[in-house]
Amino acid sequence: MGIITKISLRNLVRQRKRNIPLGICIALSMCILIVVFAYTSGITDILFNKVMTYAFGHIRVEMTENTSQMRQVIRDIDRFKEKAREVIPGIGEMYGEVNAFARCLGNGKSTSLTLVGLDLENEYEDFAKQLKVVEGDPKDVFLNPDEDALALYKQAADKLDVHVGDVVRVRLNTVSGQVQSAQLVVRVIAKADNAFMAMAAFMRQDKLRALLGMRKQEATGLIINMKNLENPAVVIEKANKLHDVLKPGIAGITARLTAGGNGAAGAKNSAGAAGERTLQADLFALKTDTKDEQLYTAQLKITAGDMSAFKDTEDGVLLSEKTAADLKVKPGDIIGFDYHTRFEDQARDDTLTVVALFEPAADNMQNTAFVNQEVFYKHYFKDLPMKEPAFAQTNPLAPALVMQYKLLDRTPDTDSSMKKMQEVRKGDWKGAVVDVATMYETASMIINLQYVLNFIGMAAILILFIVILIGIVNTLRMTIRERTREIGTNRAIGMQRNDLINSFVGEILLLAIISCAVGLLAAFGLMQLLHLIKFDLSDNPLSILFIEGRLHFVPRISLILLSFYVISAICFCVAFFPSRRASRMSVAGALRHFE
Amino acid sequence: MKKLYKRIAIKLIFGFLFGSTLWAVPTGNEILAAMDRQQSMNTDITAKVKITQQRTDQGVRVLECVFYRRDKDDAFLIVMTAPDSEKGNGYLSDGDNMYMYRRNTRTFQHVGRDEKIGDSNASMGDMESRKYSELYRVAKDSAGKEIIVEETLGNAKIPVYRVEVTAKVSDVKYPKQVIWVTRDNFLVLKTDSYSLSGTLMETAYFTKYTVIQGRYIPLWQKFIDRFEVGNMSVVELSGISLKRIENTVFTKPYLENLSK
Repeated sequence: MGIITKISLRNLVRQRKRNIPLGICIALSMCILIVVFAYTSGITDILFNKVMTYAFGHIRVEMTENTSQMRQVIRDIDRFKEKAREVIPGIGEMYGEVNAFARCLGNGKSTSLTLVGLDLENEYEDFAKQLKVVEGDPKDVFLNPDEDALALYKQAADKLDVHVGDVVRVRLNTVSGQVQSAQLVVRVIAKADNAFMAMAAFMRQDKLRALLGMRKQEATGLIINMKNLENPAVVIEKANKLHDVLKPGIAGITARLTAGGNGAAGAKNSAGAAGERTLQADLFALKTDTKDEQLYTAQLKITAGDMSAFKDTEDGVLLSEKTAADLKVKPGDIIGFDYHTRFEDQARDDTLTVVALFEPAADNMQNTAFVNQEVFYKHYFKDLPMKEPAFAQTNPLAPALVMQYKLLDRTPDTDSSMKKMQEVRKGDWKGAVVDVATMYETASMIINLQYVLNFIGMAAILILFIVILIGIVNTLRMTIRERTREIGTNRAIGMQRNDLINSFVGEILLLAIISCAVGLLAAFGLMQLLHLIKFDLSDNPLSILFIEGRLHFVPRISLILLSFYVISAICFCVAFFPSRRASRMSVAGALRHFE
Repeated sequence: MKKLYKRIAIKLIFGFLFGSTLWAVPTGNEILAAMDRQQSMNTDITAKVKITQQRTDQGVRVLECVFYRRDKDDAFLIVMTAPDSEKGNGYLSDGDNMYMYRRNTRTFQHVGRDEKIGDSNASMGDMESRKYSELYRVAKDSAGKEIIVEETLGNAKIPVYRVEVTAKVSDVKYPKQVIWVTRDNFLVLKTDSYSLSGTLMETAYFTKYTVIQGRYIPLWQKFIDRFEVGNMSVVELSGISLKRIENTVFTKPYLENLSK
């Protein structure tokens, strides 16, 4: 140990009457900083790694269909999952969400809940650990296919006045908007971490799908959660990548058209030809907005029939001349139309009435047919086709054709996201829209809440810290001022200025290190004590910031080190400048100094 | 005398032959078509509507609005006039699209059939003039016979047909209904509506009709929630007019101006 360090240590001990209170102030500052940082980290942890992943997901993809009703359903969830895996590394979990808002009746009481369908064949163990069961066994809900069972949180169970074994009646809407009802048996009651989580109830996903009329490949949304999200802003970049690869193509169906004969969905042929005629055709949909109507009217050279009723027809089709000739049909005839579906590989069939014939503008449109978007959506949304034909984007007709969906632009927060959706809803749109959103858009009010709470916490602590700091600074200055004669004596016996400065700075830094260590221990002790306090926050929205009514602390090494460096830096400054000034005094002047 | 007996016999025979057809139960399609004819308004209709809603957890709430309807174009317009929290809000359908107007933000929003009107149990789809014959078919029993039963309804023992119907399309609210219609003029007096799983969800009564220019209009309707017992709504129409409504009424600018 160097001589200066020994001097610093000796002075530290010698001045203990002054240094102990000073050390306590420094320790207190360290303790407060660590506790506040740990609390704000805890809020971030709750919001981003619990509430967000639980309720909104870090990244969320939604598809909304609008035909006669607004339906939130992704028809081909695996397609979106595949795209996400291609461009987003580090995915913690990704799943198709199946949930529904339901009105629930218990024993004479009612409440509204969100029913969440969980597919737990592979994840049962993890989920069962996370679910803080008060009554019942999760196996009875998720591993028993013979009963329509439900897992509720205690708050909801109390509202409904039900216990394990009781029946809850639920009313919800299917994905097509029909009223559905069911009786579910409560098999699990669990403790929710906060009032927000308590709004959910869980059941087997296959059971909920059956109630909602949803098929295995459908989901209400795609949720993507990253692993241990420390820097929330990283999800924005990942969402942008996903957005870029989800650009839609032109929607189409490779279908079989049939005319003549006795079969083929009642097809009729005015030419009277015997036998059935079939051919494969590419069926696309023309949009019926005024500007699109003008475009396709200009692009399609109609050679027979009348286009005027096309956009309002409920079963009209435009055929190319070649297709009509091969099928031996003309305007007014009815043809059969069927295609193989992508899932379940069933044949879906219907009839269409030939409205008009057109001369194809290009060779690759020889076996092409067009319907209006209403006719198209009747089939397309319900059953995606096994094969979707391509249509050249360079074709002048392309802008008038219906896309697989409309991909909405990315937005930075909830406000702009809401404005975006309002703009979409203002228009007379039909079809599907897809939105890729991060938690910044789906729940920016929660993120803002986190910012505000962090800001308030930091502001409060900063004020307290400044008050304490003023005390420390003042005390240090007084200390050095009172030891001016000692400085003079040391200078007189040959101590150099730098050594003098180093001895004082070393003394203060040693004090800071020891005090910070004590403060660290005190901080952990205080966090443990505060964690023991349980707050009664039933139905209080602020319970979202607590876990089981208790404060949640997440001390991070980086923030502890930051606290130490901040305090050390301050101590260094308050020791360095006064001691430097004192070291510059003349020896005689320092020896003459009198307080 | 012989001629007299002959005439009587002929009349009796004819009466038996034709009388039996007159007394035959109509087919399901005939009943549905007749119901559609009764419900469709060839003219425009304007009415003041009062909805008294009773909920077990919220007490009684009264909503009032002005309702314009034109079946020919499948258009309707609703402007809320009470309570103050809803006043000025509106709902518009132009046949192809449905919109909700919010007075506070002065914005229109595209909505679907399931959008609630004024936070009541009524939805946009309930206001549409959709035909029973397009939405439903009469259910058949195991023998393949249509489920149409002759009954009487209520204390007045009104002769009715009880008809069980199931949905033909997926975008209807209730996939199954049992409807009681009067035998003489096919007015709907009562409906029981069932969920997809077959649970009775709602009973509606239409017990008071008025005749204006030969059209039957239900003045009083009661909707009883069978799922959440204790909830019900009563819809009352008044100030009914069948005068022609200007085309400009079923437009966004008109709704916006009316809401000011």
